[in-house]
Amino acid sequence: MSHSHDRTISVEALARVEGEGAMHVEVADGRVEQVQLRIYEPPRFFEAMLRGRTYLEPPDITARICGICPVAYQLSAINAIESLCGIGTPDGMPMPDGIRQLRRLLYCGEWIESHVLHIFLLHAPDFLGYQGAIEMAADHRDLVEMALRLRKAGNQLLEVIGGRAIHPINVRVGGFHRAPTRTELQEMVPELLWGREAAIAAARLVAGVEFPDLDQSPTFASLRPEQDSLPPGATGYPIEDGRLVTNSGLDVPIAAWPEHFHEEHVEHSTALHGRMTDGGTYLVGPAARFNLNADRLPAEIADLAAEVGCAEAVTNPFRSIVVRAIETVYAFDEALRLIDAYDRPETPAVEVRPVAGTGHGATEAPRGILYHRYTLDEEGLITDAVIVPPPSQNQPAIEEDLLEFVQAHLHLDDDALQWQCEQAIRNYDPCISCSTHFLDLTVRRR
Amino acid sequence: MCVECKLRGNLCVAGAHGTPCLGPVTQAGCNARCPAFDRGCYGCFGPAESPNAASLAAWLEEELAMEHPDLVRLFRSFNADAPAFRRESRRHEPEEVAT
Ligand code: SF4
Ligand code: SF4
Repeated sequence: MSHSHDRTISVEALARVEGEGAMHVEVADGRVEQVQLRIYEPPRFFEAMLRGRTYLEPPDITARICGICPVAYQLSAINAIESLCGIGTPDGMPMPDGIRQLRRLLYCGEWIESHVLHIFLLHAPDFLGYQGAIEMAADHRDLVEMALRLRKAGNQLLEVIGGRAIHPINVRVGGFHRAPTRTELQEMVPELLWGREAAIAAARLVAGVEFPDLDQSPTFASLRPEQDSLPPGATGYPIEDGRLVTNSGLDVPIAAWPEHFHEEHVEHSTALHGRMTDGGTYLVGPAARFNLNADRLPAEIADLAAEVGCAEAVTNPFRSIVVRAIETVYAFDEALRLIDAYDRPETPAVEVRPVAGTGHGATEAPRGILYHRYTLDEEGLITDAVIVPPPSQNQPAIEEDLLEFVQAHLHLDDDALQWQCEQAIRNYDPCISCSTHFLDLTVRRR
Repeated sequence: MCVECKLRGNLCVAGAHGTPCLGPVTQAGCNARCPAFDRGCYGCFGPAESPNAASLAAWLEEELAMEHPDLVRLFRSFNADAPAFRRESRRHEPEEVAT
């Protein structure tokens, strides 16, 4: 049956992705007609919960959308609110360097913790031929222990700066509740130095596995900080701010988001689907970031990227694991640079007064651009909130990619095909629980 | 949770800085994390056993001049439906919407 011309494949619960979802493939006369990712985790109504709250509350509330990337939610929300209230804008009140440094440093911790989780615990088992990290640990104990130690180094940044590794409590509109001392940050340096070396070794290791062939040329979208906004010594790989750029030539401020991107509801999924206004699909995430900003990596890391096979744009999604490893090295390197440059702010936060209107903010979550928009009334109460997480933006592009991928692998039986599809999906590190959602595979071959 | 604050040697953010804090009515266990970072507790561990939320609210109203809508929001967050917090948030709601 499974080798007949018409078939249907269903994966009813995707393993090793965050959240719950399914995948459905329709095949007729040996041609893949449709690939649907079905997201059945219920929508989480965060946007509605934010209405009626004050402009100071989103960092604490939106942190709860994700246990892996809470800082992304906090800082995208803060960017939106501060830009509306005239903080850090060209004609507004400047944000002290120390606060900017702490935010980026905190975010480095989140990239490390999230990328290491994905590379070693969710994705590496695919390449090394294991069902999961637990089975892999039996043969590769050192690898798993190294991964856990790397994650811990990231979590420590979150704890020292954010006050808690999951859902940090120290982040606020205007800055922080308490700014750590230089000494507190410097205590982390030895472990971060170890982490940078370990991450370099890890990048070489993951670059050495065999990657299935797949070459795709989607539209990539990411942030890119303006050159003249960069503090001395920074190379400006995008993390906590930037303009919105694509490889199709878009280069606009975040406030122009609604003119270029929108979300639509599709029947097979409870997550909204992101599209460009012209109807095209696009991809956000490590590959997009890297392809659009490789020139913003410090020379030493650019050399490493070239050495591990990423001298050019990365167009094989299976190689995204290598990009994540390069970004992990960068996050350690950048954390060390930031600690060295740290100038403890005189006050941990600047005062932010509410302004009525609509503000837009975005940051590079580990999985790609995370966009927030808030509308405030005169009293600073939220009347409308929009949150567009990376996976919902990627979903239509993932479906398109999978269609090609399944077509090329139709000769496989259903079990083998399912295994391959799950791997292909994990390339994108979809994280389905973020207010949007993810996997089960069904393939119908008719 | 105030006990954890004392044990940790935190300065009381409510007494010293006038920062609203739900510590007196919140379940201990986090080692008074928020006060250690100079902010008030927002009650994420949920209500303590037999909390006196009404007395805390009265203190916040009198000493820190907190207004009703802010009290509603304070008690109506991560544990909005825990009985002690639900009751307290409702008490500060305007009549029309308090159903
Ligand atoms: S800071 Fe909060 S928890 Fe600590 S003693 Fe004061 S009221 Fe209690
Ligand atoms: S909000 Fe949560 S973490 Fe913070 S002090 Fe209260 S219970 Fe602890």
